[in-house]
Amino acid sequence: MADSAQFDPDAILGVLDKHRVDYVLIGGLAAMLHGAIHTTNDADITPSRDAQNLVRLAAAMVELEARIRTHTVPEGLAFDRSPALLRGVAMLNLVTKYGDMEISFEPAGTRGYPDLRANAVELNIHGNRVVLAALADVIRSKEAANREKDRAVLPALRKLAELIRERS
Amino acid sequence: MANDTHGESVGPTEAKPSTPLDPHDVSLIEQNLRLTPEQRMEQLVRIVRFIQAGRAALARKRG
Repeated sequence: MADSAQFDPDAILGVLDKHRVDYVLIGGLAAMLHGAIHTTNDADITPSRDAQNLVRLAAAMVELEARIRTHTVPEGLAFDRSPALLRGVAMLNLVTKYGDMEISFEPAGTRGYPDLRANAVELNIHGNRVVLAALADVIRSKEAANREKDRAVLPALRKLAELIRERS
Repeated sequence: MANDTHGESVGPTEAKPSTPLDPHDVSLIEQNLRLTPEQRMEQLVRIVRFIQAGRAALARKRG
């Protein structure tokens, strides 16, 4: 994974699309697509817990060479990239050959994939299907998570949402 | 009158306890530090290209 440290959102989401993983893009990258000013260098997704989707997600994890991210082991820790494991976890912080990603099956303040998918919008970005969470849902999740870093970006995200509403 | 509420002095305020840094953020910072400045720029360009294309797709969707 020599050159893998560089974050490449097209490549990560391209692998998810190739394996037809049902997911919603959330977090900072989703906020940036909506127009947010704060940058990020990881991709946060909420996948469907459907059994067949976990099989597809596991296959995508294998292709991405996903490993558990930890700051003590730069290359990450190997783990069982199986549907069974994915079924039993709530969240995974991962390093992949295309950079970092986080899988969160039930982000704070949400009821997971069905909840987020209801208001999401499907986009084609550089040939890849990307299902983008609604900005209101990104804000809702950050409000519920209520970490210092979330509180730091929330005023600008709320203003962004207000301006989008005014202009639509 | 920063320390005065309703006319009653409350003395110096205590410093807020610092919020522990998220280990997730530490790993992202360390990931960035492992890159050369040129690689960081390449990464940024990739992200910007993705965001530009995504925002254009979203604008088309919104009509």
